[in-house]
Amino acid sequence: MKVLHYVNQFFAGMGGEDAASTPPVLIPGAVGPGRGLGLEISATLACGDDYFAEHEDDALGQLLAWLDEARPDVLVCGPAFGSGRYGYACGTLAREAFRLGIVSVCGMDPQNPGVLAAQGKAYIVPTSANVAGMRDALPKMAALTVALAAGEDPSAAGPFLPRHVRRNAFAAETGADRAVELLLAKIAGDTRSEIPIPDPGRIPPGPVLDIAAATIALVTESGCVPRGNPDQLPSRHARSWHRYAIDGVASLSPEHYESVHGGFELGAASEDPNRLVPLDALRQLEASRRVGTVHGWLYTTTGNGTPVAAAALFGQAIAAELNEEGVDGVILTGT
Amino acid sequence: MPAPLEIASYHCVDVRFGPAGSFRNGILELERERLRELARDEPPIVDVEITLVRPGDPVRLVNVLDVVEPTVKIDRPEATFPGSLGFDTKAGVGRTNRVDGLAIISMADFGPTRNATLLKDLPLAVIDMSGPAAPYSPWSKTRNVVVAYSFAAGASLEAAARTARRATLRIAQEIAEATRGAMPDDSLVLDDGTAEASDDLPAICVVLQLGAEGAVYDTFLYGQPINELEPRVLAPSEVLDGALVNQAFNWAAVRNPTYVYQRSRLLLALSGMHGKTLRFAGVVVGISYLESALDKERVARLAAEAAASLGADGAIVATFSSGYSHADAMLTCRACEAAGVRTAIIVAETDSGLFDHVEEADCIVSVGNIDEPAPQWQPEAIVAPPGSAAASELPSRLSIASYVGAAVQTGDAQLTMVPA
Amino acid sequence: MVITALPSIASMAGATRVLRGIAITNPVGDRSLTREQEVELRRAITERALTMLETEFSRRSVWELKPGEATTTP
Repeated sequence: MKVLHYVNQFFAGMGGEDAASTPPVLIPGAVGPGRGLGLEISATLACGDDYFAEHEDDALGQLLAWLDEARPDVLVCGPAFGSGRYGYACGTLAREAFRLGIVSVCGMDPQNPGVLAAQGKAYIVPTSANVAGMRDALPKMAALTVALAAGEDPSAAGPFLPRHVRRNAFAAETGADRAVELLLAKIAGDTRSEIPIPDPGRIPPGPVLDIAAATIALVTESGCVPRGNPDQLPSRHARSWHRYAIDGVASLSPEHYESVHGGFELGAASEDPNRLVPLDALRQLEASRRVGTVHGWLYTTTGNGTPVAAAALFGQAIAAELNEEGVDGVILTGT
Repeated sequence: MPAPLEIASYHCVDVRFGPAGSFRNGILELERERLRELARDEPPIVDVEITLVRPGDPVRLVNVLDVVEPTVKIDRPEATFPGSLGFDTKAGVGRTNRVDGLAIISMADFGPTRNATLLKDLPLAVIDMSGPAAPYSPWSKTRNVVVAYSFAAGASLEAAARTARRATLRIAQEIAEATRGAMPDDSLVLDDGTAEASDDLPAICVVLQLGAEGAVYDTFLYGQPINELEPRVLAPSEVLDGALVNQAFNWAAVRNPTYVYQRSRLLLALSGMHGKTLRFAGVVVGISYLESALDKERVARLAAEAAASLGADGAIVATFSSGYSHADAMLTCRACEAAGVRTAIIVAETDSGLFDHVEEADCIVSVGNIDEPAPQWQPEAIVAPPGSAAASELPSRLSIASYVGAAVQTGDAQLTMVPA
Repeated sequence: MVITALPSIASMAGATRVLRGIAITNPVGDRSLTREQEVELRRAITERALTMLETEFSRRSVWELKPGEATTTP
């Protein structure tokens, strides 16, 4: 049985946030949590979380090259618990390894964006949101790894999140013939679908109780940035989000703001960026005491060709900041 | 009552060049220089190369624009592809000769035309005539007349795209002319559902979404641009007889080549079932990929009203491309269901799953995942337009998205997704 | 809460509070209006957004700009 293990910079012992920009490294044998798996780990792949998030193509290129060369029976990733960036790297790597024909076992909190990133291609053991669940997670991940490597039924080796592994195949009939058949069946009362219906299944967040005293933040994926695009936010495939101070700014004037979004025609936005983010209106409502305070930062990114998992990662990070800063509610404008 | 459409099929066993156009015993001969002259007549086309390829040839076609079946209105040639080539007269009436098993494949590299910045992103469009990825394109199984265009330096993209479309239609008509006087192998009469069909049978219509987003993402109805088109009803025979012509050259797997309108499996299947298991109520066409919320809702509502006005119990929504067009397919489904029309949708998937979904969309046909990698293959030769940038930098690994017609959302191909 | 011209996409992504915006290119504006009318429209949309934030929802919901046209998606 040949097993490789993926961890981030912290669990590889390279350091915390200060080492988050470390590019991928290949370490012989087991490191950190890999030692607790009780399996023979032939090598450990490690990468800084920030490096992975900001240079995904480069990071994946290197990690997949090593995986393709080693051709392990199973790739173990994490556990990442509730860490969004770490989980995103685990899920993304597991998904891409699947495309190479390599099966993966991950561990993470079911709410981790890494679950979305894996797109159902990995065996994900649900863990606690924090590292206290390490002792519980490792034996479960190890048991699943052993079962998969031995070609045994993985469901007998313990629970994992639902997988959605589907592949292309040629049907006996054309799509047209299948559509006619399915529609006639639906009319006859037998409704069927070739695509499982997606269900994000989340709990609705509660209301803002006293909005006249609340702090409301503006967030957007419309690519709205200060004119000149100081952080070089890309027009599509954004890998990051940014925030800009709007304290004392009454309105997003075209002299000082613009959109760099590459997914729609920018004429209306360049005449008046308030058409993307209603700062002028929210200021009026702040002055009339309809709302408490407008948060001092505008959060922005470009939502264009961004994978859902990457967008979820942005959202999680932005939400964490807003929470820390005492923001009560968010108006997010989408294009 | 209008005369029904008669489709006379002439099965093509082989195609070759010869001194004059002819069709004998299934052997089609083409006069290469005459076909080249026909296309060169239209500026800004400056040159045309014509190549013949057959199933099993070790070649890959790149920079594919459109696929057209050779047809001619044999008793009234000036009515072939009405509005696009000749008179604007109703399609779907009288006799059409078609060459079965043959396709005209147009190709061009628009790089040298002006406005090329727009085309940086025009994605790769290929057909493998053999090898492991050949089955992804339906036109790996037909004999193909490949027509490669070169344009005058400085020609506008709009002019280049428009003339490539028209020249290809002209060549398709000219090739089909060779069947004049020959005996058809098969003949099909379509009467657009005027034949008796019991009221007990479920009435089914098709909602066909069309693209109209600019020079290389366009569709033409009777030769006219459709960007102002409100949803309207067409007879199936109009669609099958050249009323709709493609000028969308974006994502290869999920664009609708003209061929899928001419030989729509959906329309032919429903016509064949009319009066037996269902009543084929008609076709609603409308544009999709709409930008504003109001337009999206209005077009969805009007399409549903048109379906209801046909008395439809059920509708099949066929879409194209990906992204906003899928949102429109979902809104149309919701509007149809609200109007009491039960709905099925045909869509392609990506690695990210569905772009959009509404609760009412509970009956979906998957025509495959366009992000899945295709098996690798090294062709012995590439058939490409002169100076093709794409041909010189072909990636070693292509995805399904690059194969013309692989996941066409009119339902003409057989790809789907199954649990792994 | 989310303001977008494509509410079904926001709902599918899991957003509970979705308000239908004017257009993809200008979710909170309308070029066809006069400056005053447009500012008034934007104020009304933003006010409605605040109302959504104040409201308790048990399931994913999409609201229209005018209260009478409120619709709810399970």
